[in-house]
Amino acid sequence: MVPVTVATMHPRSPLATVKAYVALTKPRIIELLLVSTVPTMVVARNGWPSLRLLILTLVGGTLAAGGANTFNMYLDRDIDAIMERTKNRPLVTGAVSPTEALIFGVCLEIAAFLVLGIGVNLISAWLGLAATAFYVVIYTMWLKRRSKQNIVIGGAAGAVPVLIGWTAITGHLAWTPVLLFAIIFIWTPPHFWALAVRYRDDYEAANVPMMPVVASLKRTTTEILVYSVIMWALSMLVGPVASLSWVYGISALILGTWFNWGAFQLWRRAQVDQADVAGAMKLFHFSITYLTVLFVMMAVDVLIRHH
Amino acid sequence: MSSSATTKTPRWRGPSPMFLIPLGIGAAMAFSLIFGVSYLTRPVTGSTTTMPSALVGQTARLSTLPDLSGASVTLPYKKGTPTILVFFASWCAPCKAELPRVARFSSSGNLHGVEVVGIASNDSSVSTARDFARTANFTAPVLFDADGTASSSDFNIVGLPDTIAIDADGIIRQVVVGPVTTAELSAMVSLIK
Repeated sequence: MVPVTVATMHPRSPLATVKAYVALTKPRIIELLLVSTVPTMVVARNGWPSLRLLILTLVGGTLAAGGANTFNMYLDRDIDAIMERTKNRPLVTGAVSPTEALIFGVCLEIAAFLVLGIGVNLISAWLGLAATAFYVVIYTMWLKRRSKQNIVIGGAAGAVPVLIGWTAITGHLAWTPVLLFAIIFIWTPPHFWALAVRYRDDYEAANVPMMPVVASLKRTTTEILVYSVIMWALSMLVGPVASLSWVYGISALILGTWFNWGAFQLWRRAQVDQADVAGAMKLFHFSITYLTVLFVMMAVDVLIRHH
Repeated sequence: MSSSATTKTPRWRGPSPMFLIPLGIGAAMAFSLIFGVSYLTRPVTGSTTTMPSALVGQTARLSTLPDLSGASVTLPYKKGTPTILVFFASWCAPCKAELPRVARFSSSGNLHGVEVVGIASNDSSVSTARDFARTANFTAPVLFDADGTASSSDFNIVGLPDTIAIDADGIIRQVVVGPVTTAELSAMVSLIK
């Protein structure tokens, strides 16, 4: 007999099993996707959408993203085992077997397509499926281990929920959702590279060519700064394109200034060869607040003008 | 090669029926979620008769809209004629099931002089709306509300489909949010005819 991983044999409580399956979907990432979807729907509707449509869109989007994340864990279980940050994921510990995870992912995707297709509309269902395919095939299977632009291109999948939110309301795409898509797309690299600066050694050990692994800190922080400036500019365009008022405009200006100040500080220290891991983590955490508040302010802008 | 391999029969028998398992689980999840959410949000997507709506009792007014041939139309559509407004869009899944039902109801002599007018709200193009109405056999006049602003600002339309009954005096008498049933249409007609 070949010795197998020990972790698979002992029985588990049903609760632990449920927790393991939930962990497969990476709920923290999904949270972020939903944060951008709801305000997009409010902007598209020019007010609150119906509760049924709102919930079904969020449920469908959650299932699609959860399925995509499950496939990602299935495919990445070899490198997840090497990296400190991911070594406790359910497929590494054996809480869920690879086949079980694969079946679970397929179930989620089928459910997502049906919920969106029947409960919302077909274009949203196809967008959800396309985002999954992109994340799994283009990002996870192809680019992640080969290109240092992996996260730049892969980020497109994480930006699709705004398209789904928009089409759920209007049935077709327009310039506003494309612009919102672009903001999240451009936001992803600085957001993720800030994290990768902190977990650089992890990615190096796993042979994943994340920017901070293959490029110098100077180069990485320069790229972070460039993306931050572009993101700032795009966020300022939302006001005129979506006809929002100064409420959003001022918010975007302040948030963008704040974000770029953090990115600039990181860049400045890197130029004098100061590795600022704490600063990078601060920027990573702020990037989440940034995106959340930016989108919430879009919804606030619409809602206060109508009530 | 281990010895266990020889005992198996590696003959291809087409796709394994096992693939039906995730399909079944996925479909079961989807349908329970859709029904669950629809049930829980019932007061909003609402089915029957007395939906409390702020619109009821108010005078209906609608910004001037083009019909599918481009001619401008304002409400009342025909002065002194009770009217049922049906808001729909080609991309709205429930509308696909609803509009043929409304069309069947209208064409089978149930209207008693009530006018039915469709409003394609937020549809991508006039031809899309026209095709959608044609597929549903909806022969009543259809107005084209390109970006949906007329529907949302004049009638608080917050989701599709919606149906609004207006009496001969131009007063809104009933609002059905969500797909309208034949029974609801009959009730509307007897309320406003």
